[in-house]
Amino acid sequence: MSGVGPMFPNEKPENPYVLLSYAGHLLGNYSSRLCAGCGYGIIGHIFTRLFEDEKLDPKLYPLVLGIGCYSQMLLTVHYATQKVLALHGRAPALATGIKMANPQMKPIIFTGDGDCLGIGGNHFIHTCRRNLDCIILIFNNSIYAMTGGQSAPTTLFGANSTTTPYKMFENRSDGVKLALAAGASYVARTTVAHPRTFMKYFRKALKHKGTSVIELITPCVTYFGRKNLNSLGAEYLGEIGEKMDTAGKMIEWIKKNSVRINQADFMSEEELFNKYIIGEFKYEPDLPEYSEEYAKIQKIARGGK
Amino acid sequence: MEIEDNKRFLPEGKYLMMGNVAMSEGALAAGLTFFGGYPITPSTEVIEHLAARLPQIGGVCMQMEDELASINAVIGASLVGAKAMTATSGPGIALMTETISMAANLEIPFVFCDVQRNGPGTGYVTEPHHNDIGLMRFAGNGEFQVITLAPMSCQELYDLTLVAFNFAETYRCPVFIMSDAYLGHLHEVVKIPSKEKVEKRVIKREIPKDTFGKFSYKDESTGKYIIPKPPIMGTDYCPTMFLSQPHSLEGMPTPKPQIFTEMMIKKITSNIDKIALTDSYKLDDAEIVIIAYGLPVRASYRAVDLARKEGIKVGIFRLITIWPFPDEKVKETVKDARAVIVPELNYTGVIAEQVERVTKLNTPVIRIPNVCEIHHPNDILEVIKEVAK
Amino acid sequence: MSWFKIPKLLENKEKNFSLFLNKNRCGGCQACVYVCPTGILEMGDELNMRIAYTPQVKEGKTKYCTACKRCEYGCPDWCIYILDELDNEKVAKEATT
Repeated sequence: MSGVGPMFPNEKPENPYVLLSYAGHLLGNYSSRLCAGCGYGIIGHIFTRLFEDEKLDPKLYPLVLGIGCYSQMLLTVHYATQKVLALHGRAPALATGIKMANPQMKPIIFTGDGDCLGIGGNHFIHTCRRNLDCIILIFNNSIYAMTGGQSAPTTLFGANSTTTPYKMFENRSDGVKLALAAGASYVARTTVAHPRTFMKYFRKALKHKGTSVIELITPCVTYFGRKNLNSLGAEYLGEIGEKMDTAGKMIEWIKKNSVRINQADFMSEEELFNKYIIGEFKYEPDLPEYSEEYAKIQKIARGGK
Repeated sequence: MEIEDNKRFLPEGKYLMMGNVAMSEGALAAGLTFFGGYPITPSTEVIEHLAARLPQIGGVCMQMEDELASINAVIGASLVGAKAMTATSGPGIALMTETISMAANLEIPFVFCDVQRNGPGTGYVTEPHHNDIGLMRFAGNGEFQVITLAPMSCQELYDLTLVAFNFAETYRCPVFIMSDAYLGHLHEVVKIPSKEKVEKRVIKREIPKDTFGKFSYKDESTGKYIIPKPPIMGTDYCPTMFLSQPHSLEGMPTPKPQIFTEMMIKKITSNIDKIALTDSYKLDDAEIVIIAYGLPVRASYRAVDLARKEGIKVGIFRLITIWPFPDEKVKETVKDARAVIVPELNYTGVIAEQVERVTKLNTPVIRIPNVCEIHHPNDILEVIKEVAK
Repeated sequence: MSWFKIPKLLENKEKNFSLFLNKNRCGGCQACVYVCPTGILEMGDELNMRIAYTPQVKEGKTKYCTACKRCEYGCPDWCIYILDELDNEKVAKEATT
């Protein structure tokens, strides 16, 4: 299997969950192509555990992925899942077609911050507006990492990236506020440093009928962490002169910069300037859902009431 | 989804229908269950008619927020086993090209109706102009082959839609139906056969008994290309991942992109004798040949009748399949002719260029371009008389 | 096919669990070091096959591990993990032989 990745000696005993990933199942002890310390490794690990522990039926939960560094998850999540790699930004539209043609399925959509809030902003807004029964996971590492570190709509003020070599000065876009304004029915945000909270929110979203939007703040060590040490805007990021070159330091920085909703109500706007607000923002289980309303229309068209 | 088939087929008989409506009824008879579209003149009647008809039989008709979302939703529905189509015009195809190339790589079947209007840009929206033929041939980045059909009347719009869905299921490539602003809004009598006769002509989407190979591949022993039935997500007959990169027959990445590109093109061109549909009129002793497709054919029939009365030997070779271009058949027809006349509803003469390529400039090819106005038989008759002198 | 033993970083005989680390898969990102609530991990001195430093337990602190599994959930390469020896007897036996 040339060109797939480095193979390390088969060591025993192995973490029992590793052999469930597609790469572990077929190719033996194989290390993924992600950078050491990438947050997507953590998310793939947790997702595979959840898929196995909840005993989800792979025929009812297809995965739809966008384009980005998380496209590697095609090879690193559970081997029994059925996956589609859509085009950049079009994953919610493809999931709409899957759901309406087979209403028993519940698609799980993996998108990134540039994929969902940049090029795919229109499709994201309309999927939330329709309140389609699906789970949208937004992986926010505030940079376009796959193509080498360009700035994204969610990049923090003052950060350094290859297309903003002086200072990033644009207004930050907020995925949670966009989802709330469009009408999604379950909206939450958490970080990679709180894995058990993520598992709790995900289990709640599996039972919820309607669009669930969960945003995850992940570290990108190679392009966001390593480059933002001495930039002009370093004082806005909360670190001056300290090298954020390992995942451990970035996870600590994320934890320091996260504020819960209850605390954020009492803080002023200046204090909340470049921080992440985490928690559950909205949960309404009884809003009308799109495929159920369409089934009612089908009944009227056939002559019923 | 539960499909109630008792309202799907219209009762047998003759109906007065618009071109767009005839095409929608043809799609319903072929088994359509999902339509995703966006309103654009002159193809709005398609989505309006299907929005009323599809819920009656348990299907889904969705108006999406833009053309990009509508073609992506059609691809998603086709992945799950539903027959799906979309209808749009020139500006719509220009937006959808990226997704068409992704669907060509993953060999997902779908049907695409293009009701052409004047271009470039916004153009006059209610005038016909066959300007998307080149766009349909190269519809997206990458090299792949498409199938394009050109009907000339409302009855053909009904029949050729059935053929288009069968081609999509058998050859798993994008299939385009080429209509235009006048043909879509033309009211004509359409004869619809009985339900049993229509059902016999339709190829259904189902899981095959032999589940070896989910994507096309070349059988080394016979040298033929084998195209299995399309996989359905949500069942056992599904590859592990759908990744639009050069792949092997099980869906895993392959290290030889050249073999993959060759397969994309040859799986259609090796079957060209079953795909290239043509028709001929008074061609047996013709010295002058008219090659035409779409609306200009109707004027050519009248011109040929008038010319034959004066003793000029002229005949029509009608193209029903435009892409892939039927090289061998055209060469065969044109080898004894004195001249070839190609009336087209565009200025550059896209099909005239293809005929010149095939004849290698040994026979003179005369174009009759006409933009936004249909041909009058006298226009064609004058050219015939010029050539016959 | 030769196989290598995965080193046990610590073993707790009363509650019957052990902490394993797959040295050669580790990428040296230090996430487990910062996430541990009792702070018993630190980075070591030897390089592994991926040319990275791997973690080790601090001297004399092996009894402070509470098996909270935060290092296991925080590892991006799936290499450090707690195994309950009562549930995984077969696996535990392979490690000690």
